[in-house]
Amino acid sequence: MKQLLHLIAFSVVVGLTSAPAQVIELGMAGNTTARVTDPAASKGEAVAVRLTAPTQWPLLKTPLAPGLYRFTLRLQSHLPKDYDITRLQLKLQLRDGDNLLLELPVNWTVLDGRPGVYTTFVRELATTRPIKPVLVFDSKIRALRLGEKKRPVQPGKKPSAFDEEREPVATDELSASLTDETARPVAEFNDPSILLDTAEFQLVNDTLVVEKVWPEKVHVYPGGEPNPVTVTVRNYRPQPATATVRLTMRTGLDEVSAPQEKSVTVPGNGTAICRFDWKSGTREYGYGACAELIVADKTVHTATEYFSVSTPVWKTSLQGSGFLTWYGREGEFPDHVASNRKNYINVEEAFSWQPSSWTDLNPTTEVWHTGQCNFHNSLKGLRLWMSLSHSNGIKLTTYNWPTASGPVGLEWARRYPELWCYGDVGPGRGSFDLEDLRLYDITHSRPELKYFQQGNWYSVFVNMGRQGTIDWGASEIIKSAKNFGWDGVRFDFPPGWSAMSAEEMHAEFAAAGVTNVMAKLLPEYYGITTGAWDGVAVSARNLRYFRHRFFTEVSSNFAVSYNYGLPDKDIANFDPRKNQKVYAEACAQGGQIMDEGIRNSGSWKGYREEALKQAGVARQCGGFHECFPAESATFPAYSAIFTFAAASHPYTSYGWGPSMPGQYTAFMTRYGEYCWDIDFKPVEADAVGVTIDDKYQLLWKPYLRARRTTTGGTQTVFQLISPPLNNEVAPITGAKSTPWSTGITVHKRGTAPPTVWRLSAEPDVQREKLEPRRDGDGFTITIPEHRLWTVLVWEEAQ
Amino acid sequence: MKKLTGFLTIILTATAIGVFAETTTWQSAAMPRAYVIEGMWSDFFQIVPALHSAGIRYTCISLNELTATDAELPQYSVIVLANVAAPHLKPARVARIQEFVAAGGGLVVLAGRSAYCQGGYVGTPLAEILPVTFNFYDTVHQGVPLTRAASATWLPALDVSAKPMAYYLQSFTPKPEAVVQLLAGDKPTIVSGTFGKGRVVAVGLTVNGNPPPGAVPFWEWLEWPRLFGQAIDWAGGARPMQVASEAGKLKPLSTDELNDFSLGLKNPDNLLARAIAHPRAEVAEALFTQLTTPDATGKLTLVQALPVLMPFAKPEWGPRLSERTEALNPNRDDRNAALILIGATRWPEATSRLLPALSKPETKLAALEGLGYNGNPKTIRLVQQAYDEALRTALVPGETEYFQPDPFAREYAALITESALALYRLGDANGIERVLTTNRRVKLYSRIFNTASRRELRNWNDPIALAALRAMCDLSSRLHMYAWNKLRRHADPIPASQLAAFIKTAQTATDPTDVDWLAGELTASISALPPATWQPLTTAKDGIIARLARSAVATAPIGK
Repeated sequence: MKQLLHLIAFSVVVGLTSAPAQVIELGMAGNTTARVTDPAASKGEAVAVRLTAPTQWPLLKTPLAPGLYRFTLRLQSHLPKDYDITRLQLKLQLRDGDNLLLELPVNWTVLDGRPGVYTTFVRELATTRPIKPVLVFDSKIRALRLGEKKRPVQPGKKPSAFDEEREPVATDELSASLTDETARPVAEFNDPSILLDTAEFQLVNDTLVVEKVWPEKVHVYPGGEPNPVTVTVRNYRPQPATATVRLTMRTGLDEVSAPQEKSVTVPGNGTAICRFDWKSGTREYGYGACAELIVADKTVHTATEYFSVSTPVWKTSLQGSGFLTWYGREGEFPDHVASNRKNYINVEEAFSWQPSSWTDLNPTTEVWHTGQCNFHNSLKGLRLWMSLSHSNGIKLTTYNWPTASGPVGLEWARRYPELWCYGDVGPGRGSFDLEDLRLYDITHSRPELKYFQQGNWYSVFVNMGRQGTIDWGASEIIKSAKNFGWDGVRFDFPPGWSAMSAEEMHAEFAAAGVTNVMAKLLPEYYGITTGAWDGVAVSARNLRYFRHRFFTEVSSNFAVSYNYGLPDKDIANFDPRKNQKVYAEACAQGGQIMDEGIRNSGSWKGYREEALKQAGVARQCGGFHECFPAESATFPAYSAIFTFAAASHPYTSYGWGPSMPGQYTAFMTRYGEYCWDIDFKPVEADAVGVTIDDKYQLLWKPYLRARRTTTGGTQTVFQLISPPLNNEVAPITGAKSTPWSTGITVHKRGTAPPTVWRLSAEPDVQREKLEPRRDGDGFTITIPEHRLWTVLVWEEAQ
Repeated sequence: MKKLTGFLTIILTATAIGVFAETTTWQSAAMPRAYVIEGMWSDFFQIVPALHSAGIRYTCISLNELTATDAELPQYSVIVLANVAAPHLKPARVARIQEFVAAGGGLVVLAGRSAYCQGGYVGTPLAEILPVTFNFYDTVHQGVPLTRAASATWLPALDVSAKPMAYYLQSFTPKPEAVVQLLAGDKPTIVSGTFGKGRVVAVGLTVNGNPPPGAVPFWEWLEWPRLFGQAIDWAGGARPMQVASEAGKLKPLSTDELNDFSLGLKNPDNLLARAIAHPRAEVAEALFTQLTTPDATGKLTLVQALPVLMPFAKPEWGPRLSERTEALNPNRDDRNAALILIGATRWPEATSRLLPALSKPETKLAALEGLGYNGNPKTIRLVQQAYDEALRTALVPGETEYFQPDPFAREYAALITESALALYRLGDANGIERVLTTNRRVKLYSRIFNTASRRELRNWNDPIALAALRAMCDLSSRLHMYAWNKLRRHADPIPASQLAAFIKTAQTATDPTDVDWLAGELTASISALPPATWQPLTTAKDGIIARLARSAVATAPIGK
């Protein structure tokens, strides 16, 4: 079926939309539905679908012929006041028999929170054979998370185990409604339900379409890395057809490359593929590979796919889910990487995959258990993951933690006792269990004994004050990068250290043969030969030496990240030249600061302020910033919005979990430049003369930034955010969808007419030029629709 | 099954009365025993091979396994601390070690990054006991050779032609009166001395280092286990071996007391402990009579009395026990105890009473034990079937050595153990090999369960981990109770039918787990057979068995 049906997410059709839409009025579908009158519905009536059992509507009596269609559905939630939506999950699908045609992303973030307002969902549907789509609606109550208190889903009802399965059908009112053929006013209908308005199929094209545009890689480095683009053209008719495929590369807001064209003959009921060569130049950030299909000098269909260009990858990074352990799950990697690609993930981390966190990143056996956390991994899986990711341009980074861990790590520690740390007695921060280690080979080779060895983590902390330790760690990472292909490393514990004897430092440099290198890398410290090197100097030695070796021995594109957060007091007094030299050192040469602690934010206010503060200081130091999403969020899209608006990057999730919701990653791949570019500096609204009416209750002032353009003009970027109605990330009760807005006006002082672009990821990636109106001391624009997050780029000539 | 644990616990508790009192009053010992507390990398010191070389029985406890008390210390002659920090031992244990040495016990302290100056010894009794002072580590990357010191006394002549090397050393300054036994380069690295009545050996060698290719680090030197074993043996040599036994403190039961008891007039004080301490046929008879009279007082049960009754069981008891083995007996523990005892009576009808119980899950274990004691060779086939069936069911499909852990611990380890012991007692030709194999398997799984339980314990605040821990502890305790403890009891002398096979096996055994079981069985049997019986074992491959046999043959004093 996958070969027959294709959902083209970002296609635009020009011409050939001659067929009228088939508008389907949804009728009753079994005893879970009721008819209601609703003035907001397109014909004054809608169908209320109870949250009880799956409900199905066969939509068409005659099948849809092969072709590309646009499917439209209007719906709104109709839930009693204080109904707890935090655990209610909705599912809307189009199916043809057992085949899933498409799934509508119905969640609380994509539903308009204004009472009584229908949300319109539009999706494209392509089929190469006749189909009779059936609309399927289902809902379920999410199971309680570990430690989450049971609570009623419906007000006035005590919590019960039943809540975890489904809302019971229990009211007399429902019984009445189900048997009532006459529509009743929606205001009188109180059952928890979803109101469905009309469904619609619009034929887009039943001759030739661009079925797929596929840049080979989702991310490439600048400076000549090839990224060929293949374009697949589909012919829905039985006769062969000839067309011209024109490919252009679009970047920035309106930069378009010279077109490449190829003529293509597509067999009847078949496809043809064109391949276009392309290499990166110096222009970084997002690109859209736009394929136009031209027949008889007319463009009949257009489709675009996105990728980004940057070095380091952190500049445009959208990081996938780390924390994978893959033994026995190697077969899932093709789907996992395909999902990453589909979601525009361009970098992913292998968390604690190695036999010993610091001292052994080069396993030589086919399978092994990790020193940290005892995960089971395999070479076959690692190589498959790496090759699949690389073939898609997805970078893979290795995790690092400064311990010698697991049996091989402890053996290293036995051999090199001067290279690790000691506490007052014995190994500092270390742990071991002799019997467990003695039994290791048995318990780790027997599947039935897996439960008896899970979770152990035996380690000693390495002494990062010693040159030998730093050299060992760097060598292992470099060897591993050459062995497996790592594109970067994340230091989960930033390799800073405390003061060391200057004499010892120099003696170690001499012993390691790195005196000249260190003299160059550490000009401000190298001359200190007596007394002590303070912690900043020793840390600088570590950070610079690591980078030096990575960049010279692996690649100048090698990406380095640090799990590093600053306390509020340090941010308040932040001065990278004085009190935060080590932090600034970590940000240098393209370093990324990863903020893992933010995931524990309990409130959206806390999350967004933390993201903004932490990303701000990282950017101030020339570095890149990354945020974890807020855990257990009811409206997870807000993690994405607050992360991107803060100019930070996402680490999307743990484990084999899902990626970010919505089209935010696609949007940032294409237009991330207008959030991330480090040349955008914060500006005060008053100083640049921006006003937005408070009645819209938008968050925007802390996010206002501007940069100079290469032509001497100014680009001011606005992030307009409708904050969540619930400040709690995971509200216990009373969660509400955010209402959308129309007609928001934005005014900015200025003399010359600006060019204003509206960029949005909601519901799909959009770029729209808005018409500024002269208004008082400047210009005003009106935003036709604003959902949760709108980006405005306000360009003014010099 | 649960009820059966009761009488086994009581048997063990009763056996232990008066033995493990927390005191430095020594327990008599046939040979020295070492108590080894193991720290990081202690395996590299080859402690176990050294102890076998020297013929010293031992208990090894890793730091993670240390319990709160040292109640068992009076069993031992010498304590070995292998790279162990004083704070990890806790002050009370360190003080106990000091008392132990002062009373004549031995102490050997091995160096490492958790010992001496890095082990927080300064300011503790350990610093006082040790024959050296210490303050830093020497690092000799290229290594220094080991040689016997000119002042060495008890250290044997060494073959250092292999050039054994050490790389990281605890630096020592010998105290006055201390004797340097071994040098690393020109530095003292094994130094001996005394404290109170005891002896102490300080070892400054560590197993750290990265030897260059071709070099022989001391821990790989073939002579090292012998040298180290000698050090442990010397340290334990001052501990008095034959001392007034705890049993001697308990008065034997008098005839009047027994008569009063038999007639149900009065229960003597401390009856069970005194009966176990002074086993006699008339005591067993009196207990049996009282327990089997219809108006028995009920203060003592058959289960509790089993250790007293078993050695003196006789056919005449059979009929009176017979009725208690019936399913009508509502007390399952009593019924199981009667089944075991009826087997031991060798009553001609015992087999016919035991076989029906073999087919019932609740009496199967007791029936197997009873059949073993009954000694009827015709039942070997049935017991063998029980063994084979349990083994087949418990093994991972397609495997010959590895069991499905949960069923093995919950049920089959007990059946396999009881069948193996019964076949051994019945004189089966493969009896001893089967017991040794079972012993190895049970020990391995017991270690796996114990270790996993310890690890889970660290996550006790996680409710899921806590549930897993409970399950793990349950499995661990069942395995321990029904299999491991059964194998450790060594209550019986070696059956006559197994003596030849036992001696043949013990002559060549080298596996430490096998040796441990064989030595236990040998210890339980030495006094029951003529000393000459053990002559062939004086040249056994393993030092522990050879030393036990030598002590039996020559009654030579053990320890120097």
